[in-house]
This record gives sequence, structure tokens and C-alpha cells, in this order.
Amino acid sequence: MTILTEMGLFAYPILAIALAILIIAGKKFRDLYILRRVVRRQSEEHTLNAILVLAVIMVAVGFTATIMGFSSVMRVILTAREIDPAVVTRSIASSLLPVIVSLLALSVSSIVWFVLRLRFMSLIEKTDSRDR
Amino acid sequence: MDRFTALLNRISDRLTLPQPQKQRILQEMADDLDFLYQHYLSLGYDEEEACRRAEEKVDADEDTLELLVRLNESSLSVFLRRFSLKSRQRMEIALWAVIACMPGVVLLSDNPAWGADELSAFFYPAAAVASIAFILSLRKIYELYIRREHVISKLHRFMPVILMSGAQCMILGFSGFFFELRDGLLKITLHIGDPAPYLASMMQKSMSILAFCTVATAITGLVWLTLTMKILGLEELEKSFILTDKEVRS
Repeated sequence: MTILTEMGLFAYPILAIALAILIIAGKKFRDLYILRRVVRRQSEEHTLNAILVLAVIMVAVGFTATIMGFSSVMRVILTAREIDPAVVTRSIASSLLPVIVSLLALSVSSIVWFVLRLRFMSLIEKTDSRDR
Repeated sequence: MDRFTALLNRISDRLTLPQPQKQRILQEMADDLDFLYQHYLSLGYDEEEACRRAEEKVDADEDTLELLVRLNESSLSVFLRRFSLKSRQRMEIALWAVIACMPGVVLLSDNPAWGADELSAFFYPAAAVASIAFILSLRKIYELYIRREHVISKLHRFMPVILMSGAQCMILGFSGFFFELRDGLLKITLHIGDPAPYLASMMQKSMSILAFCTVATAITGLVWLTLTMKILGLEELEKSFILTDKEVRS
């Protein structure tokens, strides 16, 4: 909860994207590992790639949040007559949180995407050789 | 989809391509076949007739297959094919020279050796990922340059993993950089007194992880590019060999 509060408003789009990634990955995991169901369709591959695209969008949102955080801190420094340096460092540290969270999410999502994609390709190959 | 298996197998046999590209083309064709089949069913044809008509539309001649192969090539392959095989071989040698020089430049630069307490927590996962890329690259170099037993379907094996490891290294590098900045700033906030040691430690940790990951990613990327060029050349040689073989037989 503290992390969410610290990330501010941008926590919500990042959370929403993370949730979407989780749902897609969960569905794909069920299809490819539990049901072992694979359909040779371009749209199936696109759904898989959506995991990576959403993760990249999440990083973009994270960077935007960080830059906007920096900008707010700078504005406060410029307008305030006297400011405690601890407040400044604390605010900059908080601004860095969204980009750290989104980059770590990208790292995990890209591994998930890679593993699911390998499984997808291997299942298609298996289906092909069985059909032959 | 099973109803089109025979046609897809026939096309698959005629495509002399690495497996991932072949898979992509067949996937597109299967998609088109299914779409056409549904379309003919909606027009009122029975299943057999709809299937026959869809197959008739999609069954490709040699020229169409050639065009499909070209369309499905990655933009990197298309770009690299602009150069002749000879110039690509020269580029390959130049790239290997650059790769060999990079660790030397890093070692010769007057960076002090970092102790374990001066390293970021992100250094260990990044080093593990870089090691994976390094081991797989060595194995691929052994397969392509030393053993030279080329199985066309296995030429691209491990290549995506090498590329993925490079990308992971970069992501971990940036994550580590921002994490160490944040960690250092929080320490400075909580600490009363001279913030200089914390500031120095923060800069050292964040810069070292970023430098390590950037160099590791650059080397991995260059190795991947050079190996891809080698594989492309081998595929072309194999293709020309198959074509001359076919011509001799006919």
C-alpha cells in the first residue's frame, strides 16, 4: 500500500496494465500448459505479443510518471523561499519508484512472453509432425 | 483446421526455409484458408465444396511462395541481403575484431576493482544473465565456426535466447541504476550530517551496474548480429546448393 501511495496517480494505469498482462498470461498459460490447446492462427500470436507490447507501454507510463515527478519537484524548489534538502531528496526518490516498478515488470513480462512463445511454437511444431 | 492439413503439408515441403519463418507462412495460410472456408459456407456452399474452393484460392505456385518468403523475412535479413556474401564475410571479420577489442578496452581503462560491498544488488542477476548469453554464444560459435556440421533446421537454435539475454541485461541495468539512485537518496534523507559518502556510494553503485550492463548488452548484441550474418550466409549457400541439386536431377 505504501508503494502505491508513493507512486501517486500513475500507480493506477501501471496497475491496470499489469493486471491486463497477468490476465493474458494466465489465459495463455492455461491454454498452452494445462489444456495444451493450440490453434494455428495469426491472432493467437498477436495475443501473445500483446504481453510484450503492454509491458513496453507500462515502461513508457513509468518514465512519464518519473519525469512529471521531477518536474513537480523542480517547480517546488523554484517557487519555495526555503526548503529542507531532505524533502527534495525524498521527493526525487519517490519520483523514481514508478520507473523502477515498470522496468521490473517489463523484465518479468518479457521472460513470461518468451517462455510462452517458445511453448506456442513447439506445440505448433508437434501438431504439424503429428498431422504428417 | 484439420481439413487443410494435406495442403499445408504440401506447401511446407516446398518451402526451403528455417522453421520459424516456415511456421509463420503456414500460420498465415491456415488463417486465410479458415477465413475463406467460413466465407464460402456463408454463401451457401456445402462443406466439401467450400473446402475445395478455399484450397483452390490459397494453393500457391512457386512465384507466390518466393514472394511470401521475401515478405516474411525480417527487416534485418532484408537489410543484410543488400550486401554481397563477400562483403558480409568482411563485415563479420570486422565485427569479431570489435567484439574482441571491447573487453580489452574495459580492462585497460583505469577503473578501480569494485569490492562486493560496492556492487549493486542487481549486479548478480545481471551477471547471471550475461553468463547465459556468454555460454550460449560460445556454444553457437563452436557449432558454426569449429564443428561446422550445419543442420539447416537447427541453425537458429539459441539465437533468440542470446538476444533475449542481452535485452534482459539492459533492462536489469536500467532497473539497477534507478534502484541505486533511489536507495542512495533515501539514505541521504534519513542520514543527519555529511551526505558526501552516501552520495559517492550511490553514484558508484548506480554507475557501475549501468556500465556493466551496457557493455554486456553491447557485446551480446554484436555477437548476435555477427552470428546472424553467418547463419544468413549458410542459409544462402544451402539454398543455392538445393537449387543446383534440383536442376541436376531435372
